[in-house]
Amino acid sequence: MKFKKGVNEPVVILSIAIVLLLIVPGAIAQPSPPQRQAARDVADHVKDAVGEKISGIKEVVQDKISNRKDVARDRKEAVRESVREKRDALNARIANPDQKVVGSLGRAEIEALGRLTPEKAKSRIESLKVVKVNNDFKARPIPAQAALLRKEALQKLKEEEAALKQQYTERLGKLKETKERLRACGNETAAGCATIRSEAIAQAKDAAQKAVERLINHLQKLKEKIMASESVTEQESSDRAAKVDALILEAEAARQKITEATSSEEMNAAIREIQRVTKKARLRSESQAHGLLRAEINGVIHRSEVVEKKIDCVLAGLESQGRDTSGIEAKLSEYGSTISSAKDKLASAKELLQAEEEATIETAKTLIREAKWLVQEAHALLEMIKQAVRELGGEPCAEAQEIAIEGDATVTIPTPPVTP
Amino acid sequence: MKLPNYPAIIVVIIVALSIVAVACTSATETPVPIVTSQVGVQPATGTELPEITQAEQDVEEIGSEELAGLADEMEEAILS
Repeated sequence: MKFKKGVNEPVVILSIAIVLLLIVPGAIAQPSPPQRQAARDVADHVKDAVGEKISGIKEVVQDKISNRKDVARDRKEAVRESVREKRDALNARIANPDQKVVGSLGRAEIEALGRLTPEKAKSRIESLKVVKVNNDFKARPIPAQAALLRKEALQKLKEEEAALKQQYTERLGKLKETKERLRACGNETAAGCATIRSEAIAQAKDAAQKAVERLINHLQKLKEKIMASESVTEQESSDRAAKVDALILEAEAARQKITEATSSEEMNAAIREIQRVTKKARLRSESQAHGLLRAEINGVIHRSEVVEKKIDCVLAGLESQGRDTSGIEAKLSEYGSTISSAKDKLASAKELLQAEEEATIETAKTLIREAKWLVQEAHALLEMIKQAVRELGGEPCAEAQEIAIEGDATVTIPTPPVTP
Repeated sequence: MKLPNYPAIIVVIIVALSIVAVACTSATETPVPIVTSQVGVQPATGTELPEITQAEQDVEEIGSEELAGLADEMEEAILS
């Protein structure tokens, strides 16, 4: 086949293809009258057969859907029943617990309380109070201006810390040199040696003074961190700050001993006292710092509890629309167990942090670290749950939720969520 | 000049048009649901929680270990 010169071959081919596409179905659709009748008969027959088949399939599918809904409903009911049973068991074990507190407890808290002795569970319930909060909840919200001032104060202390460290190192260096010279004197009573001895006492005094200043600076820094924490309650913050103040007083008393020392023996006794207070402060500081970390993790748990309740609220709406939420319920149950384990670890860590032994504080630190991992795991689960809720077209529950928190926490005014 | 295989080209064009048609149909079959609702908290980008990370940094910043060093160094201030 040959095209004339000047004819665009691809255009011709494309045109033929389009014409073919249009003509072929048309040709099929235009059969002769007898063929048409036969085709109509066949079509009717097929239509009937297909119709029957479809209605059969429809029935089977509807049965399956109905069965799945029943199973899901049973599973959900079982989860709720389990929570109800645990709550009832808690009420039975403890004499007259505060029903408002018990009613506001989430899955995790009920499980955690179930593992405690009745006395401990009662005491725990008594230490809780119910607050209605949003998911920006803070145990002790600090106004922005006050937070800024705290930040500045901390920065100043950090700068002083660096300067004090340098001054201390210089003075200790001079003292070491003088001690060398004193060693060369041996037991001589020459006037020169007596001067060196007095010089050594003065330099030891200087170095010890700087050591105390470093210690006090550290404790003030710790106090600033405590006062800046929004995760400890007002009462806890005051208690913690008071403990640090007591240590500062001990350091000041040791400083007084240094000032009053006139002999090597008195100077050495004062230095031993500073060492004692410093070692004690180190342990207390370690425990306080990890106490703040523990409180922060607890804060994350409280905020997660609010989200959990908001999801519960979303689920109620979805269920009323006939959506299958059993998968989400199962994930929520897993989330509850994970948070419950984290809470157990944090509760044990709280007790251990009161100890004065290093090994015990190390155990507490390990528990806090493990609790952190669990909370991260639970948080990831919560994200999956939220995603699943969104995929079901869940509507948000905007209102604040009731949760049980420790002691005297100040309640953040609930802020409505931002809607797009 | 040797002529191209036109029937084969036509078949290829028809197949290509069919594929395009099928692709367009399946793209419009299942609309992606646009969910604007939020459950309450912004989704996290990973498992790290910023407030916990900050609290861990605070523990570092408090630097209790520094005091252990200070207590040991004080030994050098003891006069013989």
